Amino acid sequence: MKFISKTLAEITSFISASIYTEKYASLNGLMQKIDARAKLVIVLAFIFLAVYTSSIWVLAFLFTIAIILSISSRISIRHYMSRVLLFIPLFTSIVAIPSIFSFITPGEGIISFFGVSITYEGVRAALFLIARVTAAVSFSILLITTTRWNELMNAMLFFKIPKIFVMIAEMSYRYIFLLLYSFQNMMLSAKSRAVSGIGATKAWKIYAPIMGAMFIKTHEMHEKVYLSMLSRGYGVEIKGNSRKMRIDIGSTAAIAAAFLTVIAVYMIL
Amino acid sequence: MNEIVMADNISYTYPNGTVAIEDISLTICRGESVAIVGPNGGGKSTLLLVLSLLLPPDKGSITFMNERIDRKKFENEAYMRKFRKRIGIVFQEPDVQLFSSTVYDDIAFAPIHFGWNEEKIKDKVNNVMKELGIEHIAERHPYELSGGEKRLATIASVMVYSPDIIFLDEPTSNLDYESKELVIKAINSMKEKRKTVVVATHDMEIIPEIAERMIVLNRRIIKDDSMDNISPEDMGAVWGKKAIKFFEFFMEQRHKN
Ligand SMILES: Nc1ncnc2c1ncn2[C@@H]1O[C@H](COP(=O)(O)OP(=O)(O)OP(=O)(O)O)[C@@H](O)[C@H]1O
Ligand SMILES: [Mg+2]
Repeated sequence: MKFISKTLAEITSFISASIYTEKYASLNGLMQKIDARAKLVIVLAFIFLAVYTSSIWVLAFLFTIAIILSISSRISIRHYMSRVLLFIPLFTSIVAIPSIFSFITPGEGIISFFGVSITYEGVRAALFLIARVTAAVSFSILLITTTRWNELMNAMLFFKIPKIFVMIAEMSYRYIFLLLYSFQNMMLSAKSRAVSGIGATKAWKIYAPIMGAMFIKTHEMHEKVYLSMLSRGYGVEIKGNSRKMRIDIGSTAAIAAAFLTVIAVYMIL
Repeated sequence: MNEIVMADNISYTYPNGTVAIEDISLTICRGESVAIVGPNGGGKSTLLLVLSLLLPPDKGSITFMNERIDRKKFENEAYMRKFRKRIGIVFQEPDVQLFSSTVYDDIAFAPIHFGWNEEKIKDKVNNVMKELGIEHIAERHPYELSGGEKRLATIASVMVYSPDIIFLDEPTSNLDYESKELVIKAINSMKEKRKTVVVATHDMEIIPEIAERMIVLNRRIIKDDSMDNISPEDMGAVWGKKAIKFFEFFMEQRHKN
């Protein structure tokens, strides 16, 4: 049980550190120079390609571009890769795991147990999917890492993404934060009051109510967070530091370059 | 008299049925400094939320700057925005107020949403951080801070836009003596600018230093008077015998100053 509580604590602090750092957004790198709206368009174009291509080479190429862009945006490669690696299993496992089994992707069995076999075709398909997700995730993370949250929200509003979605995104961003934070604290408080070296059943009895309590508590706090945001002018309109309507030449050029790349890759490969 | 906020017979009941405050009538004028005291669960935090126009009272009415705020206005956030710049509230729990990824961003939150230009934001944020002695934590993540640092950051995030009236809920909890001095100084400098200050607190040490008027609240108003008319026995009625001695001591200090 010590193992579980330790890893949970590590995971929460890792997630919160990697989602909520704006350290890289203020650096003077390539992606940071591009207007948030242009970046949104560019990244969507690449993700679109990653989702629709059927060539593994295109995916490899896209992944390479993402890495080059992140290097020229001064993101430490270690930080970047750890975030990409964090999100890949999250997205992939949901979709990929079932498809490796024979009754979903029929084919030549590799191993079989209890009548269910893992097929060669299934594994291939799963690997391809992982590659696809990796390419898409690397671009999303590039966007999130190099853009201030405020500017990203404004970019979404600019493209007439309904305000309610933007507000939901904004509030869930805060909510995950709060959830992680109170989870960490409640684990500590449980630890301080629980006897150590207890068995799994007993530990479950302690930790299960914590989960429940955590949601109630964060929900309550969340309402206060909302009030505190309201009191400081949040609501009707999200305002960022750069609220210029015009897009600069550099950002326009970046969009053009990205589109040319996407089209070229699509035609050639 | 120049009233800033008036409550007429207001009550607030939480959705679970707890009546937090009941039949409260009071008037707070521009430039006044008020301490709200009372036992735990006495309704102080609730009253601050209602007076700062964040929770609508379920009975009675509130008048802010000579404008009666009815329920329809309460529900129209676009309309309420014009009041938001004039009102500041520091919540009792810093965690609900710190939601940005750095302390700097959090302090800049209100100025950004009130649409100030970048230069002014930078200037004011840096000033208020200096005033409260927290420049060194500007780039830190709010959730990694100590209790006192969080407290100072939340005060900074409201003082930065110098609202006409500021509500502070337990502003000195978790603070060491040095930080407490800084907060008292910041409060007093707001008072010098003719801002209105309302403080809910259990910290009897700071009351004589910052407040001219005291409201004793235990769901209803028990007493509402100028500090000079508050007797140690009034305090004793709320907190028991121990408080009497304690309060006498601090009032002596006040008269010495
Ligand atoms: N979100 C809520 N839901 C239901 N009841 C609440 C809620 N918040 C506070 N209460 C109840 O309302 C009453 C007044 O609470 P309030 O927080 O205003 O008191 P307080 O004077 O600020 O107390 P303290 O000195 O402990 O901060 C209490 O009985 C409390 O249990
Ligand atoms: Mg309170």
